Amino acid sequence: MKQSRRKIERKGVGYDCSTDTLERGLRLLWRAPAPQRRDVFLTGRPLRSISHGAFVLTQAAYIRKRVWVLSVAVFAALVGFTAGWQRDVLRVAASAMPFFALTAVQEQVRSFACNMAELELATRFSVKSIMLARMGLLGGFHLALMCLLFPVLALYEQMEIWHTGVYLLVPYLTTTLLSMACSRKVRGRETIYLCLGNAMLVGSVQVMGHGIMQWYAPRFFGWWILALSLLLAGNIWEYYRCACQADRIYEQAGA
Amino acid sequence: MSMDEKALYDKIYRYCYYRLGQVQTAEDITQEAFLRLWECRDYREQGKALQYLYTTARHLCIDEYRRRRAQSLTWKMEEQLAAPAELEPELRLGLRQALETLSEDERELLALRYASEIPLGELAKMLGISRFAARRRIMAALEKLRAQLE
Repeated sequence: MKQSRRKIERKGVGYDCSTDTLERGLRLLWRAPAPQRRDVFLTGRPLRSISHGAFVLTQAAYIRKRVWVLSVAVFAALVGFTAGWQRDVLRVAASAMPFFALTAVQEQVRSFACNMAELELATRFSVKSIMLARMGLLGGFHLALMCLLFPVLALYEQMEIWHTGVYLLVPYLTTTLLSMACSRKVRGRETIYLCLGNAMLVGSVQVMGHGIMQWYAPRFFGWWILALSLLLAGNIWEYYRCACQADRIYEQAGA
Repeated sequence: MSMDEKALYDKIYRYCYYRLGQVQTAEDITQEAFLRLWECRDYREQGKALQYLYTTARHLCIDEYRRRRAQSLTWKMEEQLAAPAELEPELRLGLRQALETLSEDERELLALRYASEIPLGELAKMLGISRFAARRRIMAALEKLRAQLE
């Protein structure tokens, strides 16, 4: 047996000098009374202020990587198809927009779909800010990708760039609007299926609409502008209602 | 308030208490060290909170010791002398005398391990040495203590 583990009786002294005894002795000798102000201090910890930019960047890290990858993949497929087929590209691109939007919506409704909204509400930042930050990040990312697509489509379809922008944004915003409304009404995993259904519906309408009534014709462009304006307003309103719902959940949880 | 922070608080508080022997002062210094940690973003994000807290607390304890030394020479051991009843009086006295013979570094190491109750792995990381080296140093210090006691 090792020297350190061997008990060595001291003559005339009632203790041994094993390592265990020494360790126990030191622990007892230096034992501190319980701290008295620990819980109060740690509970009242001052929160470090964070800039808006830093907050948005932290949210970017929480968006799942597959959402970014999926967005780029859908976009790349769209560009590849446009370059390969070279006809009817606007209709195809507009029909694909809902699925492009779905990648953002899927992330947006994640907390509702997984019934995690209440948990997120308990964190330092409100769900409202988190939703806005993520929506802004993914929306900005998608818009940047779409901006690359606008001139390509304008070139193939022989129309102005901003016209192609309107034609693509309308189905995109329709999908986000419908999906936000669904996420507000329905909770759980069904939200995702409903959002997928919305994307398919809007995509189908885009395909059929042009086939039936040639709605990308210049005479309908006024209606497209009107639709875009209404959808923008509708998206803002729907976001506001989602945020209000999040506040209500918070109040109920606090009550 | 996370469990990690509670555990960190306890470790640093016990270390401060070992250094100063007063509950109130030990808590004041622990809290000061935490406030400085929260102000300093880098260390928290690099996962070196314990190291930062320990270094800060150590310096604050030294400052406090220097500040009070002029006022009273015996203040340090006021509360520590009220030793626990579970510890045999002979062993307590023997340990105190034996500890005096150790170097400052050895006492510090033993205090971190047994007063603060910092696990060996964390202690090694804190000191920037291997786990094996940390254990060897602790065992060497205990050997010295044992030699003194015998």
